[in-house]
Amino acid sequence: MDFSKRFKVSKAPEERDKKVDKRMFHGLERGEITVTQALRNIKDYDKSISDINQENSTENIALILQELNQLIGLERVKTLVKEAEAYIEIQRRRQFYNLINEPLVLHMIFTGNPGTGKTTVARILGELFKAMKVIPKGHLVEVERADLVGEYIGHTAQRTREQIKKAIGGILFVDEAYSLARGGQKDFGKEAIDTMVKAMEDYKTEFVLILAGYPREMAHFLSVNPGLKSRFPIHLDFPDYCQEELLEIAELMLKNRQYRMSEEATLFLKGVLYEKDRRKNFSNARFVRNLIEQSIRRQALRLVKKKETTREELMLIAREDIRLEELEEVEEELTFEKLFGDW
Amino acid sequence: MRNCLVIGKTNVGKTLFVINFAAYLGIKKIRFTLVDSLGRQHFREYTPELARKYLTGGKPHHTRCLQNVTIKFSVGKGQKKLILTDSTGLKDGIHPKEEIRKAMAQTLGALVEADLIMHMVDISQMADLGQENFFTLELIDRQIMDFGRERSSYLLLINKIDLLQSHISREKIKQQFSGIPLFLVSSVTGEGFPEVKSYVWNFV
Repeated sequence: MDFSKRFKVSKAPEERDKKVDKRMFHGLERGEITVTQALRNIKDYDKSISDINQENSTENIALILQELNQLIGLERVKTLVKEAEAYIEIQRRRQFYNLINEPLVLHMIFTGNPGTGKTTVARILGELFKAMKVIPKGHLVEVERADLVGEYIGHTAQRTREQIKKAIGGILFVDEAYSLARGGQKDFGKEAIDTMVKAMEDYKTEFVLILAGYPREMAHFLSVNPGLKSRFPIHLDFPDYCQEELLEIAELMLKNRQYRMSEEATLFLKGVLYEKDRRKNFSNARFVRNLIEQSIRRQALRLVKKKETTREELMLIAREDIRLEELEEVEEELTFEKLFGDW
Repeated sequence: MRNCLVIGKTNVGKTLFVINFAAYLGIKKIRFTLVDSLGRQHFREYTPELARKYLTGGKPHHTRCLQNVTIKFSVGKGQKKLILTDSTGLKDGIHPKEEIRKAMAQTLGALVEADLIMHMVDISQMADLGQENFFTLELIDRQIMDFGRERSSYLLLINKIDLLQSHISREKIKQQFSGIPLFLVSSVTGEGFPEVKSYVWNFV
């Protein structure tokens, strides 16, 4: 009797995990099969379950790693993920022999200029940790100062705790975390930090806290709170992308959307990126994304006038589709707003 | 709350181990919860002496249902619970009595549900001096071992170590089963109980 096939029923894997199918033992009770046969059946059944579970999770991990590897650059992040994966695997093996296995503390600090992939990496890490069963849910809760800081005394702790509760089982991602330390002694931001520090200790293994921000501001933030830095075992620096990397990113983005650039356009983009590289307020990959999205719209505008279009034409981004002027204006406006928003 | 199941062939000393282990942990009155094959529960309370008298014996299949003993112990400021389950002995082949067949099916059910499998074997039945490997496990024991090792928590209790003749060294046993958490115990004399205790405590 092959029970692995007979009992592949449609229950959820968690439910199936522990519940025994009593039917398995009917044969034994009736005296139809021997004990050894029954034991063999149990083993088959057990194996079929673990196979299903394991296949899923290893497949998932491979998929997520592939997604991560697709990101250009970020070598440091990739090595960290490999380290974490190996560590988790070893902890599992140690558990088999009942050796002491320490709970993983994976709180992190991300520093990097705008558009260097902090949020993207955080989201992928969430899914990865979930697949590795480090955290049960793996969702990402993105918050900023406004979500944490309250209006009156005592309100902040309450709001912060709420956000942390939401993030339990997943990742709490605090964007522009340095803004919590701004505003001097009487600012409520400090209260939010204190609450987070406490929660980090209380729910050490149940959620992952990631503080993200720009390098210079974060350095100041960490120097203001001496105990904070040591509580985060992992510091990741997201360096600015170089010209070639940005070009690769642009090509990848286009490829994912089933477009490609003409040679002229590539050259032009290269020139643009080279120039841009030296400027301040440059938002790295985000700039490239905006540029690409804009050029796709421009291409549509150019082609819609034509009556007939070939497949090639629909895929091609030409030199004249990539234009800079408008984008720059938008960007400047944004930075202006940002400046005011901070006050 | 963790569920530890003592499983093994008939007459290897499972029930006596449970009683003496509970007594070793300082329980004066052992409260057994008997679960029969229909899932009904009965409660019995024995002192260790009476339990030994009524629940154990030389004939196989003295235990005919699951017998749970709940052990509470304190960890730091809190308390933790451990359920030690004694089961019907397994015997290969088809048993003529329906009652025993049902009880064995129940044992196998408990095996799948157990958090910690304590597999008990009898050293006096294992020793086979003619062969290079001193100790041979029967098919049913090998199956339990394979099953248990696939689950992460499994330990092998080699019982009746007091019957072991001196010329068979204990090291040899440990060598043969290297890689498996293994304890040499004696249900009668209480030898090896401290080691089992510390392992189980760590586990819970």
